[in-house]
Amino acid sequence: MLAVVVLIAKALVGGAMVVAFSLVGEVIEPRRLGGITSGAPSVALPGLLVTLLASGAAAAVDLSLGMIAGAAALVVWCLVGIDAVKRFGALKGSVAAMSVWFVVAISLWALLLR
Amino acid sequence: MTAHPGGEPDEEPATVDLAKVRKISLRDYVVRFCFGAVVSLIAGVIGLVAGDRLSGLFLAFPAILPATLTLLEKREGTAQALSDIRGATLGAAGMIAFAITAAILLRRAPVIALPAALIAWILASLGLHVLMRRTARLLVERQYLPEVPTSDAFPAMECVRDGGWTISVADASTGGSLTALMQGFPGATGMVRGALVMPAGDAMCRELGVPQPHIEGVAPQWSALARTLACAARGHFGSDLGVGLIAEPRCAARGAGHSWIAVSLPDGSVVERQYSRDHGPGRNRERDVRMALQLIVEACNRTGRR
Repeated sequence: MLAVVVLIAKALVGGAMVVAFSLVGEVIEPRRLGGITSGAPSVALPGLLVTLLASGAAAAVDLSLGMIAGAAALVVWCLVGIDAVKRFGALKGSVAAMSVWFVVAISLWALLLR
Repeated sequence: MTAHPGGEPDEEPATVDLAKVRKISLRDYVVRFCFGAVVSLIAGVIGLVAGDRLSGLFLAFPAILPATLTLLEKREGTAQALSDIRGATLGAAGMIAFAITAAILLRRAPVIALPAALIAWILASLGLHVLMRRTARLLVERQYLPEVPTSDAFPAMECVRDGGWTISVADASTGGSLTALMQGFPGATGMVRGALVMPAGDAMCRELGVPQPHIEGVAPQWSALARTLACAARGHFGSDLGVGLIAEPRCAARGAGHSWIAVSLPDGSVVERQYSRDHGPGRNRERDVRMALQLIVEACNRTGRR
């Protein structure tokens, strides 16, 4: 039961943080500066907070270690995504680049964190 | 003619436009909330099934970005979506700093770990932003208006339309980009009377048949040239408003990035701004376009309606 409550809390706070960070990004000009918030830890922050409160520091540290690999993969995704969005448009380009994120993230996890 | 020079050169500032919040539809907020909630849920379920380290990967999963980019592309064009993803690259790099800081501090100082990680993200992202801009400038980045979508010209053109004005341009700075953006506004044909695009202000003066101010490397004279061009464009094309843009060629003494923008009003007065920071050729041009559009809005607000 606690696990379900924790999951719901993560989902609600995660959604709210995504909206909050995207609002900050919207109002900042120029766009490239505002775009930094698109790479904000909007899901990570509530995820770590809820995990810290519900499961303790050890679980939150493990999440953070995994997140280092995920964030490195996100950098690669963004770099590939720039070209993909230019070629295929925002939706197709960004979704197509996701395979790159999976390859990099899972490889880093398998090599360093497993 | 009365001039309103900016005194010290202005720089293109990082600005906060709260009015943009109202332009975003409720549906956009709901979509982003749902994406955020679903990704958080997936990361949580993976944590339960396969452990926290694998779950941690998904705290940096790019699920929200495609939604953001798609909404942005629809609203403001692909150029803005590209600018957003370029910014997101820096934010993602900052996220590595966030995760490392959290991993180090969560066990030792759990109370301050997450605020400290957030500060690390802000410092790393903004630090990279500044570093990239400086590096691009050092490398004399070749770039052509990647960040100015056609919609950026709309507020200025709406002001011109609502005032019942016509406008013309004498452009010795942006290679015609300002006029091209203005032409993207619906109904621009009846509002933009004409544009003269030339690489140098002195040649433009000859073309327009107006006396050329003495401009040998002295900033106030470049300012006079911009004002002269604005007034000459208005007179030449018979429009209500005239815009003059002039960029000083790179010189050893003063470097590059010096631009003057002036808007001539129907009563003969002129509003003017000058810029002095060198962002690289592409971004200087981009700044001049954006600042000219802002100055048109300011001029229209000063003038009122016809």
